[in-house]
Amino acid sequence: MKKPIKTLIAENNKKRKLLNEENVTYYENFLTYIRSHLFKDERATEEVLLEIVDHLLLAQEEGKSAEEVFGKNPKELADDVVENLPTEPFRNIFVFGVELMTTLLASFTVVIGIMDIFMGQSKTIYAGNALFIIGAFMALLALVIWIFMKMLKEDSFNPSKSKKFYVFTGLTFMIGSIAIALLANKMPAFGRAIELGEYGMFGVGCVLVLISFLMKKIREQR
Amino acid sequence: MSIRTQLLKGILDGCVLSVIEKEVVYGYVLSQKLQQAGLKDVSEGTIYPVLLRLQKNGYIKGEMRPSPAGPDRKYYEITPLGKEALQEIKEQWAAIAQPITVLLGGNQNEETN
Repeated sequence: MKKPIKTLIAENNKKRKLLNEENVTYYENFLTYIRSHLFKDERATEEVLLEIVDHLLLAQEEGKSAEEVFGKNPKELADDVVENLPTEPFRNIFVFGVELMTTLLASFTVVIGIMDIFMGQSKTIYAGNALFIIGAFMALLALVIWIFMKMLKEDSFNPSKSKKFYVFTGLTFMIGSIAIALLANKMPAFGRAIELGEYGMFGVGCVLVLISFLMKKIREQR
Repeated sequence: MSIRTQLLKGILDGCVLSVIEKEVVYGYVLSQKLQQAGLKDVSEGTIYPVLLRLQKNGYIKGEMRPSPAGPDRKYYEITPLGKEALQEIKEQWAAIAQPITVLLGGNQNEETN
């Protein structure tokens, strides 16, 4: 039976710790770069990363450095690896996208739901507005992930790692969310009205939490 | 990229296949075998893109299993399709090796007409 991907990642984390300082930097740049290619088959990616860490460990025992065995240009090698990795089936990418969205939506809904209960507010939502918010939010999320991964790729082999892009992606996400919230607030109500009452939102939130949890468990078993 | 690396790139698939045809190996052992065969300055890392490509083409099959030393290794074995491909590579190589040797190495003995 094949090991779950989660186990492969855990093994990698453990093995990486055995590399010496010079080798660990070399390897981790390599790993970050390869993992930042989200559309590549995850199992194949983790398997080749494990093979490479194993290889470096064996070389290290013989007193050879990562640069000696894998060359002075890790980016060229990494590009060559990425090019030959199979792509992740579209279905898996899609399902993961849905999971990510459900998780985020779940946390927002639970928070708003708790506020509703706390303030004893009965809530009515409009299907049209809700769909608009979800759609806009999905687009924002895709944009943020795209920016983050692009910057991560460019920064992987940069010896002076800038953490600027974390700030940049964070800001994009925040500004985007505020813009969506403002838009949603200004928008006239449209679509079917759904009466949620005081506890409805919280209830919906709990269901979403459960769904996202189950999706995560199923994905990790893969 | 050095000229040597560029020259090897095309033929490395064949070299890797022929090692795997003889025995089931994992990455590190494979790189040792190539080095022992005299391909000393092939960076050991270059075998990984080759292994991925060969798997994608269905020429080899990789399987994670425990090694005699303990930890799991990914062992590769050749498939029937891989054997066919290797045969073809061997034939192609035999067809070009001789003329290229003459072309590149035969200058001293060349007769001018």
